[in-house]
Amino acid sequence: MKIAELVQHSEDILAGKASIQPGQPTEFTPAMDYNDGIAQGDLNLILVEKVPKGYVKQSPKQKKLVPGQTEGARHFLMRLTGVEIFVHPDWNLDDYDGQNGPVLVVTKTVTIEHPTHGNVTIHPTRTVECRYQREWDAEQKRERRNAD
Amino acid sequence: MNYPTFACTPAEPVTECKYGGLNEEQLAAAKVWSEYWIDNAFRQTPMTWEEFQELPERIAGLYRSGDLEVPEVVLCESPFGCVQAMDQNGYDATKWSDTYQGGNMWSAVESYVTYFRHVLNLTIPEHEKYDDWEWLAQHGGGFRMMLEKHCFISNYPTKILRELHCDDGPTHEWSDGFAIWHINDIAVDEQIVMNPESQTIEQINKEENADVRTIRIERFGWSRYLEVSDAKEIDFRDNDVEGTKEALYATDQGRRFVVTCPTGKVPTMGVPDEVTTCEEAQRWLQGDKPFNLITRT
Repeated sequence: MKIAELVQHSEDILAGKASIQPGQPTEFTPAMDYNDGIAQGDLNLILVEKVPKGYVKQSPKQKKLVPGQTEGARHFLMRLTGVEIFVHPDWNLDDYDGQNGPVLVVTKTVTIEHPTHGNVTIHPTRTVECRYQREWDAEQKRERRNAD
Repeated sequence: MNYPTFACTPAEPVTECKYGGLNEEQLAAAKVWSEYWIDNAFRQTPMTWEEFQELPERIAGLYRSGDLEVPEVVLCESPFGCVQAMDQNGYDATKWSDTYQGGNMWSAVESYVTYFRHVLNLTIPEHEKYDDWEWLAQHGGGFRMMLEKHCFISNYPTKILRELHCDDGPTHEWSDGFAIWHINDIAVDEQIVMNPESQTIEQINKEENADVRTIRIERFGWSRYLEVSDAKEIDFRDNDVEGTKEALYATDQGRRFVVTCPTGKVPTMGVPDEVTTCEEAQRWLQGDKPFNLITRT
């Protein structure tokens, strides 16, 4: 069974014996192009050309990028200066369960931090869209709810 | 109240708020002040006899400031003891969360308010009514249920860790045995911490909180979970782009995509039955707008 291999690999990661390491920071390099992305846990950060149509400027700006109170939801902008934030009209931090997170228009280098995943740094003049990983369990739950 | 004192505190009361930053001395004082209140929040010694004697009058002061009749004050051994006391005295104990105040557990707020009051010497009329609240935050126990005819107050915990993580015991414990358990900041139950092997597959699969489900399975043991749940391996690959390993399983609860993660965890995610390879699973998780994943952290 391959699961044993996965468990061994995770132990190797924690012991520093794997090619990837916990908390390794990364950044959007100049070589990266539109539609290239970095995953910070289950938050996908994707380079886009411009803010999608229909998004509205967030005011006041908020550092938190992902709805929810779980550890996995603790993706935060380190600071709010030098970044404009645009959000989908349905987006909110309380109960939004779609995939469209905030879009960040960066004019001054900014970093997204998380308690367990590595920091992701975005340099000017990039525009980065936050997209949430699709969740089958949540979709199933929604379907069950709609069927009631 | 045994507050630290500072040379930067103005001799004359400050009676109105002004905009402007703090100077270095005031910032240094703020650090000392916050440590004082953090220690207060993590108190692990029971209420003293002197504090207990003063308690009813301070609670009476709170009720009077809200133009309410003075209640009977009952000191309980834990927050759970307070909820039990509600039930025994005819209150709807399920509504405990509508009635509680935090006492020393809400020290974060009090550290700010008292900093302005005592370090910056801000003096405003509202502070008069704040006196009893401030005393209670330091001497009047932890959570309290504020009810019409009773005030049930929890004594301090006998154990409270500064990190919400303990592999082999509770993170919070009170003298009557009531305890709270956490793994990696996530609230869990005693079974998950102390006897994770005794969990059943049904318990794990019915768990709705994704963080708790991951912890349940990790502590139950991944190999055992997939074995006991009769999971069938469908695909496996080394993901060279991300430096991770991935496997796709079919279980009674549907398909599960298992991956290694740079944090050292082995998260599992549900995917639809149409997904037959790890690559497809990754694509499905990206959603309607596929992108080129360059790296993962």
